[in-house]
Amino acid sequence: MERLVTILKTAGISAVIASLAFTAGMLFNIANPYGISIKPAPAKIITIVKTVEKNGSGRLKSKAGDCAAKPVAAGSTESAGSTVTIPASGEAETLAELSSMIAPIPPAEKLINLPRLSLEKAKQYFDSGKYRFVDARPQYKYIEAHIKGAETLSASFFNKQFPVFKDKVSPEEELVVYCSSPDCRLSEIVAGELLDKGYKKINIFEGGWASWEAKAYPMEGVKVGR
Amino acid sequence: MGVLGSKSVPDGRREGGQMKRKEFSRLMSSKKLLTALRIIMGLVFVAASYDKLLYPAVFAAKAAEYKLIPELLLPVVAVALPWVELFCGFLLMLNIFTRSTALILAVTLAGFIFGMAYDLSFGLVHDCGCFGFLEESIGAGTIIRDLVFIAMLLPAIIYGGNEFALLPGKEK
Repeated sequence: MERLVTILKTAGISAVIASLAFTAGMLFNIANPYGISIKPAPAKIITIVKTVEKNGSGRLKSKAGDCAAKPVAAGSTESAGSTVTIPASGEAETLAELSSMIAPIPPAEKLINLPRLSLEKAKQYFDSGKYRFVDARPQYKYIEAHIKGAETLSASFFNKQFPVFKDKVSPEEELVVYCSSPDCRLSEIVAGELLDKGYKKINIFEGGWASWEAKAYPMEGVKVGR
Repeated sequence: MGVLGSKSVPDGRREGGQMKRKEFSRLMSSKKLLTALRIIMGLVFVAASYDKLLYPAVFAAKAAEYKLIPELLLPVVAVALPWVELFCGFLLMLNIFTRSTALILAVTLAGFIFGMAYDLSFGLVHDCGCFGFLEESIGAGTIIRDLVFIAMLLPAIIYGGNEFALLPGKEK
């Protein structure tokens, strides 16, 4: 009995402490210049239509990279909600097959002809003001710091971020896609996805964020200038 | 002799085992050890909360990588969790409601471990979001570290006091 009382007392005090911390967090968020909106952003429905077809034998028929590149393209609709659905006509047979459809596969072939920019060239393009920079790194890295004026379009959240991106950036615009360093492949993945969405004027900034930051060229973000 | 011997050996072992358990229990509940663990873990959690607390947007983006957290709850988690860590870290250091604060922190760590194990089971490797200034990816190392942290909190959960008792420590 005594033990039960101790457990209940401990749990009760824990709940009170957690509630106080929660309230403090909410109040601080209002005063914090880097505070965020607690109300979730209106999500958009991304309906995947006909990404996969079955061949005669009932097996899945899909080209490598096709599924990764076109989950939102054909017949995608947007409205309130946040569901991702795959119609019965294109059902994946197993979870593994579904994951392989969704996993981004770098479409290397179509990227061969894309212009590769050095740091100097990228800076020239930046100064001209005619090019839109696209940050392919994870979203939190973009929030911390990015090339001034760049848009976020991370490889891991491409399908989630693209509906917002396409509202801001027209397919006619000249784009410069970058990621962390010359070794990272995220800019190529994002460039491949953008090509499939109809964006044709794409350049890849090979030096990426590391070289830009090293030169202290114009940048912005919550951790810039700290 | 044989009968007596066979009887006395298990008794001796049992007594020896009980002695060891008592010794271990006495060691774990010693005031010095509890104070040291409280202060170390308190500092760890205060340090962990700093970056997340100032930049909730960054932490929200990191938390979004954890597939277990529902999208609807992400902003709330990003805003509240650092404050839970900060509050509990300070309370733990000051020996106020030690048992409850240690329990909250252990549950938080268990949640992180579960989230990391879940993502790793799908082959997803992303930033841990544990300490903003460390920039580390999830993996066996981060899981083991969090397990060690839970082990370090256990003496406070089992033997710590649960009163509003300011310094000096008043462990049981």
